[in-house]
Amino acid sequence: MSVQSTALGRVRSLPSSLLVGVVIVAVVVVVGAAAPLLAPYSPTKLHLLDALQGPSLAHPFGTDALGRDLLSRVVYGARYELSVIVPVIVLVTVVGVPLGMVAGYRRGWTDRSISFVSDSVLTFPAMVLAVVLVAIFGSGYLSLVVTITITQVPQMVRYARGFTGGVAAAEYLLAAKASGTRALGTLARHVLPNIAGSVVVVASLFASEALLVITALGFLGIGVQPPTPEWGTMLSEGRQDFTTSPQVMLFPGLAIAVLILGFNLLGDGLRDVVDKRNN
Amino acid sequence: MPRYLLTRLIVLVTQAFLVLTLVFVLFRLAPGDPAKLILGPTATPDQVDRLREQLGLDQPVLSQYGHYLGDIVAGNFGRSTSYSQPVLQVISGHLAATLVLLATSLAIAVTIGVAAGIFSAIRPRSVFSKGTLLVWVALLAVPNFWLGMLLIQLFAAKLHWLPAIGATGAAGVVLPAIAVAARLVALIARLTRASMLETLGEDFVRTATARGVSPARLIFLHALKPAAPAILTMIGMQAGYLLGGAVVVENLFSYPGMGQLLLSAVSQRDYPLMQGITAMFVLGFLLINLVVDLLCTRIDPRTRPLAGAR
Repeated sequence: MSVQSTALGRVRSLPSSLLVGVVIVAVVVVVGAAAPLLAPYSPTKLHLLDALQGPSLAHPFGTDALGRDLLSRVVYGARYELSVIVPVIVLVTVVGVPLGMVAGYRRGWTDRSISFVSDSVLTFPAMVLAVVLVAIFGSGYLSLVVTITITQVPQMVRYARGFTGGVAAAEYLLAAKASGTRALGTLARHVLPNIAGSVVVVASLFASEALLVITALGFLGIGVQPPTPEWGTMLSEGRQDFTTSPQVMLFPGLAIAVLILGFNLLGDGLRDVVDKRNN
Repeated sequence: MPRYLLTRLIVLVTQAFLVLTLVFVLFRLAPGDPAKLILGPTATPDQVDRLREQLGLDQPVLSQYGHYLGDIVAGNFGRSTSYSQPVLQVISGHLAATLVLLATSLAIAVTIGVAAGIFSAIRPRSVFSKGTLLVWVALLAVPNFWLGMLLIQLFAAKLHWLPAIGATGAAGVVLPAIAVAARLVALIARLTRASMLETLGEDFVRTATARGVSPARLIFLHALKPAAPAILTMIGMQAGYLLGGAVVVENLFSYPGMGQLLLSAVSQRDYPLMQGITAMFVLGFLLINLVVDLLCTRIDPRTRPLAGAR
């Protein structure tokens, strides 16, 4: 217990996947926030004479077909990815969790109708739904955020419904019900705090799914439009040259993979912590 | 079993009906007049009216919906505006290509995933077992389109072993199939390992070992069988990812499948074709999950609903 009581000891007792995940995500957040300070060049300014240079001291990640510095573009890309992921996760949680909680708590026709709608949306492969929604509503920033939110909300509803069902039979809920607490109050005061941990775990895994969809849409050329330095869009722009100048796909792709890894490790680590606390 | 099959088919038809309705609603949400969008700004009002009539847009929504469902039951998915052919005819050639891609991916995922899972479960403390666990974590972080680019770079550009983009024939399927399969390989391997480790510790396995059952028989018959329903369920859960993965990976490899067709329909603003392809993808998703359910009940009778039970 004495080891646990110091702050350092408490950090040490956390799963290593959680620590690695937190570090990766934190680094990407800082890089995105401080992009103008960290990027050595402008992410969009053309230098056609310096096109397709391999990594060097002047350009650590090399340059793309238009001579833009890839390091600067990857750094600014972090900012763009996060500016989509953060609102998506907030929206998915704010919309999905209450719906799932109501479905899991009220049961009956409320549950059936909420589950019915979310299960129907789930039969659309997320990527296909995203492509169609972007085709219909355009690829502006708002449209992208809403599109990715729509593909994820039904899953959040399903998870939150399951978590709520798991605690709905607990004695403290029966006590709350018996003492006349209204359903809404019970959900907010007794259910939400008890499922919050599991919701956070799911949300961090959704973040990596959201990143996959944004970058895939960018890669298909129907998401974020050039010259915005979005990682998937950068891969798409590099399609002509990547076999001869691998740097145009290596670094943006690596950035995507590292951030997804960060979110996944964060989620896995948080799950271990939440599971341990629940038992 | 026949009775179960029947109820399952009724559920499938109901789901298909609902989902097709959702597809209809989705495409009616498009802002603006689809006919105008398809024809572009240079169209005369006359041309727009004619296309509206051809697409049935001049009729009330409910009657459009009725025609839409009736036509699908009759096997008519409308007429593609960019190909000037019935949608079903445009789709049919591409459908086969996507089925080949998905079947190859599944074969790769199941073979490699199960084999790697077995090996690492037999020797859970070996370097192979621990090393592969790290490989799976890494593989789950790699997006399929980037993996595809890496594969092209390595096997096509550097080693010249396999054709890269736009290749036809069997060799052209290999790289896209690996790119789609990778995530599933990792998931199946982890699942197989976990399930087998659990089973190998059970009493009946000890009894079988004591009885002198050969290790091969023990692994494949006794220990692998309980893992099968879990693997199948995983495939069903990842069906959406597989179908969506096909869209992205086909685009990278210029593979002439349904995903490529969907993107060309998007760029041509060919709404009837987009609608038909979306419907196909969703029906494919439902079918994959039906097959998974049926196979699971085949393997594990406990998941079968009791006869006569309501």
